[in-house]
Amino acid sequence: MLVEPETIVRAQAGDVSAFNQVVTAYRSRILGTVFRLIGRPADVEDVTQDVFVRLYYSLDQLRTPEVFEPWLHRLTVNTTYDYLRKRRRSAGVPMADLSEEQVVAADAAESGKRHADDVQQDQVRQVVGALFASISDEDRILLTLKEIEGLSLKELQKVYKVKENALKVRLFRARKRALKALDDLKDQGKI
Amino acid sequence: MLDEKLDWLFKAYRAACPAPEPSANFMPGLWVKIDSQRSQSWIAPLRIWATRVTAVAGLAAALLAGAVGIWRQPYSTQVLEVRYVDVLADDAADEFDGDLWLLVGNSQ
Repeated sequence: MLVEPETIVRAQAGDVSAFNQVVTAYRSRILGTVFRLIGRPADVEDVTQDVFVRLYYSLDQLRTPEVFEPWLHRLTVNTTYDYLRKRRRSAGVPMADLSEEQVVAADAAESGKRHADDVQQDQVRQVVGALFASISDEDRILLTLKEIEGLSLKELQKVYKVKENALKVRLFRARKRALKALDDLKDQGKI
Repeated sequence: MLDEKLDWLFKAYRAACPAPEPSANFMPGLWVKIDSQRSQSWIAPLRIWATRVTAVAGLAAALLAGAVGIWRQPYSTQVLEVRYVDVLADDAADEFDGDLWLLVGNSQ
C-alpha cells in the first residue's frame, strides 16, 4: 500500500487532505495504467481524473482499507472500459490506423527529429494499438492488466471478483484471440 | 513463435508507455470535476422523478385512449350500419307502398 490504512479511513470520513494524499500517492500509478490501457496520451489525464472522481463518490462503499488497491484497480478498469466503449461508438472505426501511423513514424525517422529508440517505441505502440483495436475491450483490459501491468492471478481475482479457474479460462481465450489478431496483422503485412 | 512475439510486444509496450507526469492542473481539475458532479447531484433525483411522471402520464393516456375506444365502438358501428343509401331505400319503399295501395284500389 502506498498510503497508511488510517489515511484511507480518514478520507472515507470526508477528510479532504487525506483524500488529496491518497490521490497524490496513487495518481502516477493510475496515470501509467490508464495510458497503457487506452494508448492515447491526450486523454490519459482526463480519464485518470474520472477514476478519482469515482473514488471520491464511492469511497464510503469500501468495507476495509486493506482491499483498497484491488478496488482502485476495479474503478480504473470500469472507467477505462466506459471510455473505450464511448470512443469506439463515436469513432465507428478501428482506433489505430497502423499504416497511417507508420507513415508518420517513418517521416519522423527520416527527418532525424527523433532518436532510433523513440522510433522503435512508436512502432511498438502502433503495433500494440492495432492489435488492441482488433480485439474486444474486455480482452484488451484483461490482457493489459495481466501481461503489461503484471498483476498476479490473485490480484486479478480480486479485481474481477471471479474464481481462479474462470479467470484462467478468460485469460486463455483472450490470449488466443490476441494471437489470432497478431497473425492477421502479420498476414496483412502490418508487422 | 507467435507466442514469443506477443510476449515481447507486451513487454516492449510497457517500456514504451511510461507513466506520464501529471500536469500542474491535475488536482485543481479533479476538484472542479468533483464539485461539478456534486452540484449536479440534486438534478439526478429530479430526473428520476420526471421520468416516472412521464411514464405514468403515458400509461394514463394509453388507458384513457383504450377506454374511449371501447366506449365509442358501439356508436360508431351504428353509424356505419345506418347509411345514406339505406335511408333512401326506406323512403323509396314508403313511396312504393303508396303506389301499391293505389294500384290495389284501382283494381277494386
